[in-house]
Parts: sequence; C-alpha cells; structure tokens
Amino acid sequence: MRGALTSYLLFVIACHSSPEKKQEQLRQELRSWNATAQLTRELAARGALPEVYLRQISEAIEQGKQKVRLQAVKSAE
Amino acid sequence: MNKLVEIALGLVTGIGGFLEAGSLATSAQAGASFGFQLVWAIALGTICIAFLIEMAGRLAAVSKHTLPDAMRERFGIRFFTVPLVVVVLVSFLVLASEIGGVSLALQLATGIRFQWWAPAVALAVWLLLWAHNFSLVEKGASLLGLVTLVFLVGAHKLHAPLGEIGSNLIPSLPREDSAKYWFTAVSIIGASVSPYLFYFYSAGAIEDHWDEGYLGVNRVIAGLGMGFGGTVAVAVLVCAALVFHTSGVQIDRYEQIPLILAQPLGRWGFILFVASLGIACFGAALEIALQIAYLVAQGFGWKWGENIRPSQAARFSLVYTGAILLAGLLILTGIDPLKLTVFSMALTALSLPVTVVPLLIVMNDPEYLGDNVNHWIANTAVLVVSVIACVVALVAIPLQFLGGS
Repeated sequence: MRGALTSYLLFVIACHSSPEKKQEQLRQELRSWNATAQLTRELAARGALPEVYLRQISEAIEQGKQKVRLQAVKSAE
Repeated sequence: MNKLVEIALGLVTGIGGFLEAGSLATSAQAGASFGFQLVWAIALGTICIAFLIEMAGRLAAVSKHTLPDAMRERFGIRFFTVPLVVVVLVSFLVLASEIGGVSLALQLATGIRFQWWAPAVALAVWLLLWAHNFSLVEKGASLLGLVTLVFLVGAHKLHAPLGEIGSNLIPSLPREDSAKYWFTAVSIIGASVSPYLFYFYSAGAIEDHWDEGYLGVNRVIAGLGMGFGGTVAVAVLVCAALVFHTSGVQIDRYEQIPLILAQPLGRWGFILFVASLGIACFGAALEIALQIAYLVAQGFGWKWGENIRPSQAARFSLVYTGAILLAGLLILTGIDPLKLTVFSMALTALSLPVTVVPLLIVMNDPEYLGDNVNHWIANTAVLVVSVIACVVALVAIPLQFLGGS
C-alpha cells in the first residue's frame, strides 16, 4: 500500500509542468481571452447580445487578461 | 395507455433532466478545448448511466427496495456508511454547483453578482420541496427542462458535421495538453454518471409504486431517455466546438458560455441559454437535495417520502433543509461556480467504484432480484467504465491542479 502511494506521488511529481510549459499555457490563455473579445464584438455588432450581458462579459475578459498578466509576472520572478 | 403515458413522462424526464450544471459546463469545455474529440466520453457516460438507471428501476420494481435500503440490508450499516458518506459529500458539492448555476443564470439576466442570488435560489428550492409533492417536483422540472433542446437547434444552425462527430465516438488519444484532456474526459463521465441520478430514480420508482409489470417501461425509459439526454449533451459540445474551438476560445468563466448559442441564434440564443442554465440547474438542485435526504433517511431506516407532509417525516425534511442551507452558504462565499462544478464532476468519477460496486453485488443477488439478476454485459459495461474513470481521475485530478502534462 505504502509502495503504491509512493509510486503514485513520484509519478504525479514527475509530470509536474516545466516553466516553459507554464509560459505557453499563459500565452494560450491570453490568446483565448483576445478571441473571446473579438467574438463578443462581432456578436454585439449584430445586436445578438443584451447590454446587461455585454458589461459582464467585458468585465470577465478584463479580469481574465489581468489574471494572466499577474501570473506571467509571478512565474518570471 | 397508462404505460405509454409513463414512458412519455419518463422520456421527458430523461431529456429534460439530463442536462445540468455539470454536463453543460464539462461538455462546453470539452468542445471549446478539443473540438469533437471528446464525444466518446459523453457516449461512454451515457451508456453507463443508462445501465445504472435500468438497474435502479429493476431493483425497485422487483424487490420493492430502494438502493440504500437494499445496500444497508445486504452489507450491514457499518459497510453501508462508506458509500453513504461518499455519495452525500459528492452530492452536496454537486448541489452547490447547481445552486451556483441557477444563481449565474440570474446574474447573466440581471447583472447582479451570482453570490447575492444564492440565498434566494436556496430558499426557492427549499420552499418547493417543503410545499409540493414528488410528482410535481420531478415532472415539472423535467417538462421545463425541455428548453435545453435549443442546443440541438443551435448545432443544426451551425451545420454540425455529423460524419466527423460520429467518427469521434471511438476514444482517441489527446493530440495536445494530455492532463487537461483526461481531466475533462473524467469530468464528463462524472457528470453523466452522477450517483444522484440512479439513487433518485430508484426512490421515484418506489414512490410511484412500480411492480414487475414496469420492467419494460423501465428499460425503455433508461435506454431512450438517457440516449436522448446524452444527445443534448453532445449538442452542447458541438456548439462549443463550432463557435469556440475554431476561434481559439477556451472556457475559463461561465460568462463566456452563452456565446455558443448567441452565435447561431442571435439574441434569442442568449435568452434561451440563460433559461436552459437556470431551469436545468434548478431542476437538478431539487432532485439532488431530495436524493441526499432519501439516501440518509433510507440508509438509517427513517420515515421518508416527498408525498407525505414534512411534519410526518421530520428527520427526512431536516436533511434536505440542512443540505440546501449549507450549499447556499457555499455559493454565498463567492466560490467560482465553474471550477466548483468541474471539480465536483471529477470527484464523482473518482468515487464511482465506491457507489457502483455494492450496487452490482446487490443486482447479482437472486434474493433481491430472483430471475431478474444482471446480465454479464451490464455488469462488465458498468464495472469497466467505473474503474477506468476512477483510475484516470486519480491521475488527472492532481495533474490538472499542478499544471502537469
């Protein structure tokens, strides 16, 4: 039982992501938020989104981008 | 004629009750991140839950036992405590996710933050359970839940490529981000095979006084109802794949998801998404709160039933009251409903063997089922899916949180 638990923990630790992978994930997240903003603009121009929702999604996009920037700074340190 | 009505109502329940916070969020995330590649996970989960639902109904119809009742009797109260605690804990997290889902639908409609809606939503769930009977709770929520069929309309408007979707029914290895792929796959299976579904179904069959004459009805409801429900979940994945995956959007917040219907259906798409999220999660919250109370009351042999007055089943009513109150408080803290939902679904997958293996033992016991014991195909299908989901979850959950690959 103890052996199995140790092997499991070693496996999980071995699979822990590298700093490069973390940076790539952050870049991908930023691209995703930019794409969300683009899609939102397109749909808003078609009148498909109500004002109350537009405010919420714009705030979510801003917060998402801000979170990515903070994580990027933290991982660079 | 009566049986046909039962089948029709069962199918409505299967379709309208299948989609909830878990299946909606995990299917949408899967479509956004991996396109159609994870359709197989929904299919696998749907097959597994169809078998489990059929078993729960058959046990109730033949032995007149609910699942907890039979498990406690067969294994004794000490053993039964393990699945009891696991299912109550997992169901509690799922209940909080559903209350979070309704609160988020209200936030999307009004702009008022979701946590401020949590007390009102919890109160509404509690009031409905306190004041109404089982039939109204189950059938009313499922009928309204038919609004989720809008995802099929959305997928049709987006010209879903049926051939490509069909080819992904066969499991495939991830092309990128393995940790996220497997985590999403087990979350989908956890969302589809939520224990509350079959525990609730077995209690419903007892409340509706099923006998062996209902075995055919049970089979049709389990097979077709879950099959149609799974198709709606696939439609969510398809909408997310065609709107998000092609433009590189990943889902990190619930607020992004309405775009998958606003793209094909315009403003009505947004409105119907909000309605689908709110109604589906509200229906699921009613069922899960009841299921927690059923499980505890049946497990300890207390008087139970949604068709009797709360004062006549005080401990049963107290359990759902407490569960709803605590779940509402959890959402009131402002915990991210999307993260809570996806995590709860992965935990559900992890806990599957604990809930499913004792059920399989009961389902193979002639003392309860007589000649209606399980066929080996049902045993194998359920056992294989549960064990694989558990093992993958054991690896994928820590990797997802450590950001592994």
